[in-house]
Amino acid sequence: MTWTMSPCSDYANAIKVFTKKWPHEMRAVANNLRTLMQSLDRGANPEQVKSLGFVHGNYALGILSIDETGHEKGSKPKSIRLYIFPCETEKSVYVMLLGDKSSQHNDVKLCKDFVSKKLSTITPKPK
Amino acid sequence: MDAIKTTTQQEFFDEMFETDEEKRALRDFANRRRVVSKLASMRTAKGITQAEFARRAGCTQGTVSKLEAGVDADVTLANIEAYAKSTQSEITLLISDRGKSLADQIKHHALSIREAFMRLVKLAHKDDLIAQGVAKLHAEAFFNINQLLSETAQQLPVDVSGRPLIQIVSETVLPDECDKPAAADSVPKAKKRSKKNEKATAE
Repeated sequence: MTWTMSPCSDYANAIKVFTKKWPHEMRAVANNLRTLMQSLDRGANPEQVKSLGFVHGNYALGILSIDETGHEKGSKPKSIRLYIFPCETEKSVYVMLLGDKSSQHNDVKLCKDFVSKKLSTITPKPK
Repeated sequence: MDAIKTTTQQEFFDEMFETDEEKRALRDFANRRRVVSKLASMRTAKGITQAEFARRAGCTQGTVSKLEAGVDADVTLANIEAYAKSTQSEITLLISDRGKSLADQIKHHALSIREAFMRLVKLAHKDDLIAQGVAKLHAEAFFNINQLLSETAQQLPVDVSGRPLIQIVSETVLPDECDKPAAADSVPKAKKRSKKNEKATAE
């Protein structure tokens, strides 16, 4: 089944700035996100996509981030993190926000607030 | 933070970069990594970690990580074979004429599907159980292809009067109905139904 994408307001506010400032890194982030979507479409679950080399997943609540691995910038790439939440019940990936290593603490907190709210509204799948 | 909307993957990636130049750069970037992306997604879809794959392939996890973060130009046929073996997939190598049209590509795939079905049909003659399975697969394949074409047809532009250029409609016929002898006055309808339950109207 094909997964859908649900971009969030914080991501939408930041995307233009990031693609203008760090085009090389953002191309890699976009391509990595596409690879992750391919994995989900092929039947991987959100836990399994953590084994992709560019995915970080130690944030709890199923939050993942994608980095700029594979970029073609010669040296000193910007460390970018694109935070996502693959919601298995809705088969949709929430694209929450873009940040860098320095804003990581605050970014993760914002994502956790969003996902906590989201999870409280989702009806669990019948077993 | 709020979710703004839900979109298809295609729409999302189209909107990610603004200018045509940026979009082209992303497309070129992705084209240089089509094979490595596919290999990485094949591996994860089977629930195999990089470390586990490295163990099976007899290399280090670092090698796998480097390969999946690299470009297609660095991938060897031996790498592809190792992924196929590990994920129990089959490799199909398609070499086609440069500039082959999309319509030609569809025809090529249609012929490949026909060829695969012919192989199954041959097997079906050897065993009743296989025959039942192959018959079931025909129904599933018909349903899936029909649905796929319905979906793409719906996305076609409409004509000047706002009507769809083509409508693909499918009708389910229950086994009981198939068994009924066709009444004399309903022969054309019965014939139509037995023709794979599909009618496509082009207006």
